[in-house]
Amino acid sequence: MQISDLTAEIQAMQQRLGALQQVSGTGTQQEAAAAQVLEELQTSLEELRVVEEAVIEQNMLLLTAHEDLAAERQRYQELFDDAPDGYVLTTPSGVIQEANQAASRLLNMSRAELLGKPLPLFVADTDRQQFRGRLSELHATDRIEDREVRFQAWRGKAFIAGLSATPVRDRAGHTTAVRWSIRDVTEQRQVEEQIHRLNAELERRVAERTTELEVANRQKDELLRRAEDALKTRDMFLTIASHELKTPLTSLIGYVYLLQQAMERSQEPREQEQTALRVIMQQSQRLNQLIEIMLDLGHLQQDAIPVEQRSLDIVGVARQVVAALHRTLSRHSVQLTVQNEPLPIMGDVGRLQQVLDHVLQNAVKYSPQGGSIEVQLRRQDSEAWIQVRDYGIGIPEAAQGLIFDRFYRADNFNHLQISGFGVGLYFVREIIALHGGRIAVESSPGQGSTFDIFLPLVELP
Amino acid sequence: MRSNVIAVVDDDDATLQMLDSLLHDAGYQVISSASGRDVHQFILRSLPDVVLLDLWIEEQQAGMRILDALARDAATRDIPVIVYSGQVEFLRMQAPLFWALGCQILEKPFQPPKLLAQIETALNRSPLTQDTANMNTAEIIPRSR
Repeated sequence: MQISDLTAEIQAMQQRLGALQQVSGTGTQQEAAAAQVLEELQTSLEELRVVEEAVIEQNMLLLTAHEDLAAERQRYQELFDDAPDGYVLTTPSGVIQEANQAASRLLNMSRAELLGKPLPLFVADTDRQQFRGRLSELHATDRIEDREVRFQAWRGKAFIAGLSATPVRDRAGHTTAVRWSIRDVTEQRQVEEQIHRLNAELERRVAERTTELEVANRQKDELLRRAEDALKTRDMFLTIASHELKTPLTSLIGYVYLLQQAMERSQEPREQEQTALRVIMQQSQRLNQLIEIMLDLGHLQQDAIPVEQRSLDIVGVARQVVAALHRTLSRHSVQLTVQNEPLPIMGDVGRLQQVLDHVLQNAVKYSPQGGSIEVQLRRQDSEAWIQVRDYGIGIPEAAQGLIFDRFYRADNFNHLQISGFGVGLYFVREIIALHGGRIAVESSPGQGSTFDIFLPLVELP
Repeated sequence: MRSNVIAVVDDDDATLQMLDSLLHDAGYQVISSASGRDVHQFILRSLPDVVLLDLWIEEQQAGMRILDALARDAATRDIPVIVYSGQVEFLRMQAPLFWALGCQILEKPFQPPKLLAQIETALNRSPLTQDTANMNTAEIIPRSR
């Protein structure tokens, strides 16, 4: 019977009691008491009804809470089941009580079958004893983290497991269960091993390459040392050569001079012999010039050619060179024209003599038919301009840019059997450069060449 | 009249013979040493009027040692010396030193008239000028002072 039914019943009884009082006219004491009881009863019933409503409400709340809890449990179960790592709950001695999907996959056995199996069953033989040791340790420790244990799946592959374990304890501190997480780290280990192997390989190669470089460095040092030795040998050779080559020339020139003197004193000077002596003298001097050039080239390679810096008049130098050359010529004539005088410059008299002599000798050499050679000196702005013009075989256009290179000789010179190392103009250009000047050439094959030398002028004191 | 005595110190036979002929022809008396050893003693004994000294005699530095020994001895110090060498760069580089020692310098190979002129200069004791000692005969404009 519901509380509301009771309430209706009580109200009905109250009405009947009221009707009875009207019929009797006056209320008896008993009737009044009865009405009082009924009144109290109704009040109690009201209270009861309120309580019932509260209970109903609480029941509703309880129901909702229960549903939430179930959902939560389901969610945790799913989390547990679907977790990527294997989770297993065992008894303290290692008997499996619960396992998730991942554990089932890893151990290659259904979850139902797993229950009741000892976890050590899935540990590889090699590691099992050690694993049992770990298991017993768990009583004393709070947690085992990431130990690597070799696992053997049921009728499946072996794998390396990264194993963590947490004991579950009751209030008294007794271990009631153990939660395990099992992760397959085989691939990770393989990758790590591969990285390790690659690193080792890399280190080996680096070491190998370092060794190779060291060897190469030693070879380079050795080559450098040899090159330096070669340079020293070359310098030594040049020093000895200058001594050894010039000494015989000294006695040769001395004796030619004596013979020339004797010839002049002779009653019957013979022209042929005089010519022979003059040629020997000229050629001896030419030989000396070649030795000088050879030595200078050695210096040029080291940028160490000694050049003095003194004030001098280039006109005086040119006059001397032209005069000396004149004495040796028979088929050529040299005209010297000086438009400005003096032309003071800073430099090395000996070197400038060599330069002018060389350019003039070239003019003679490349005018095999003989003829005129013109030398002009003038002031051009702040430079002394020395022009040497010949009317000889000229220089092919293609060769004009090359004649100042070392060892270059124009093709059309060769068939003329003109002697020389092909180093002269290179030397000339270098010496002029050391004086802060420059040299240029203009030429037409068959019509001759013009060499222009410019040297910076200095103010006279 | 006693002719002037020229001492030639050179280890090259051909040069010695050539100089012997050249200097005899020019009227000098010639004594020579083909060795670089005991040159100082040789000069001290013979006391020539002029010494012709090849700088590279037997070895590279011998001439310089001889020159040094002659300059240190009061008995030989005033004998004029003409040094010559095929190492023209060495001569040019050390020219101030040679001039300071009162030497004239001569580059190999030299023209005999030039040697004879230098000997005359030495004998006349004319004060050495840069022009006579210098191997470059081109006109030189003196440096501003």
